[in-house]
Amino acid sequence: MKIQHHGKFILMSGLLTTIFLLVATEPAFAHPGHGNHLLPNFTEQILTPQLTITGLTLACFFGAVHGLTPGHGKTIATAYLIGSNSTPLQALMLSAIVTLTHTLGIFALGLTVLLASRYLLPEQLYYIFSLLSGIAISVIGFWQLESYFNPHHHEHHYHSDNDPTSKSLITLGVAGGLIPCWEALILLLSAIALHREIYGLELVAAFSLGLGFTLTIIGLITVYWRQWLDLLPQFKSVRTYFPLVSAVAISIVGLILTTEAII
Amino acid sequence: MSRKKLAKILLSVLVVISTLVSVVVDWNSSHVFNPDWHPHGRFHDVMLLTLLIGLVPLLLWLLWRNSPEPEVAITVTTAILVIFWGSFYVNLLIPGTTPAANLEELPPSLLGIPMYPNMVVAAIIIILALIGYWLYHSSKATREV
Repeated sequence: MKIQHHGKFILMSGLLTTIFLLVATEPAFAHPGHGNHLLPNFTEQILTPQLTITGLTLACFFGAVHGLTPGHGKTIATAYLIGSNSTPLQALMLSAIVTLTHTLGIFALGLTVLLASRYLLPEQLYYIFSLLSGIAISVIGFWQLESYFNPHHHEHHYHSDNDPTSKSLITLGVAGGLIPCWEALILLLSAIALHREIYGLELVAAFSLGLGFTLTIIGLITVYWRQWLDLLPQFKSVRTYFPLVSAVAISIVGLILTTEAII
Repeated sequence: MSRKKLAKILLSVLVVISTLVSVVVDWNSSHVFNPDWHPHGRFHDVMLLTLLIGLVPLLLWLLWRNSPEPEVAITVTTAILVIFWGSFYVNLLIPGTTPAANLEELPPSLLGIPMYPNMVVAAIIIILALIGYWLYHSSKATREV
C-alpha cells in the first residue's frame, strides 16, 4: 500500500508539474504576494510550441510511469497472455485495445461530467464504470474456467481452446481499459477548468500513449517469457495448468474489482 | 461463445458477486457487529448472509449440471437474483427502514432524488440478470447448447 501511495504521490506531483509548466508565467513569479495574477495567467497564456511539446512529453512520461502502478488490467492481461497461446502481435493488440478504451473512457467520463456536472459527480460515475468493468472481467474469468473444464473439439479447425480469439481479446481489452483512473480524469478536467479543452484532450492522449507503451512492453515480456518456458521440457507438465491458473486469477481479480467498486 | 453459455456465465458471476458483496459489506462493524443495532436485527442479517452463502453452490450446481430442462435453472436463478436485489426497493415501502448504513452521510442526488449507491447497484444487477435471461432465451431458435 505504501508503495502504491508513494507512486501516486510521484504521479500527482508530475501531473501538477505538467499543468504548472502550462500556466506559469513571469508576472506570477515577478510579483510575489499577488496570487490573483496567477489565475488570469492560467487562461490567457498563449501556448508556445515548446510549452506544448514539453507538456505532452511530460504527460507521456507520467503515463508510462503510471502504467507501472497497480491497475489498468495489467494483472488480468498478464494472466490471460500466460494462460493462452497468445502471439506477440496479439499482445500488441491487447495493449492497443486497453489503451484506446482507457482514452475513450476518460474522454466519455470527462464529457459526461462536463455536460451533467449539475446533476452528477465524477465519483458517482466512477463506481458504475468500475462495477461494470469488474463484472465483465469476472465473466471472462468464468468463461476461461468453463473452457478449461469443458474443452471443445474442433474437427475442422486447427486451434485449441487456449488460442485467444479476436472476440475474447477485444472483450478483455475493453474490460481492462474501462476501469477509469482518477489521474487521467483530473488531468483532463483541470485543463478544461483552465479553458484548455483541446490541449486537455491532447494531454490525456499523450498520457494514454505512455500508458500503452508500458502495457505493450509488459505484454511482450509476458508472451516471450511464456514462449521461452514452452521450450523447456521440464515445464511441459506445469504448462498444462497455466490456463487454469490464468482463469482463476482473472476471476479473482474481477470479483475483487467488483467488490471494491461497491464497498 | 454461444449466447446460452454467455447467459449461464453471466448469471453465475452475478450469483457469486451478490453473495460476496453482501458478506463483505455486512460482516463488519457497520452491520452484523454494529453495537447500535438491535441484537435481533443482527440476528436477521446473519440469517440473510447464511442463506446467500448456501445459495451459491446450489445455484451454480443448478446452472451447470446436465439437465433435460436447463431453462428451468436460468429462470430460477434470474428470479432469485431479481427477488433478492428487488427487495432493496421493497424496503422503500416499509416505514422506518433506510438504504443508508450511515445516517450522517448524505447520499448523492440526481434531480433532487437521493441516489443511494446500494440501490443503484441493485438496479444494475437486476438489469444484468434480465439481460442474462434474455440472452439465453433469444438463442432458442438456433438450438444452441
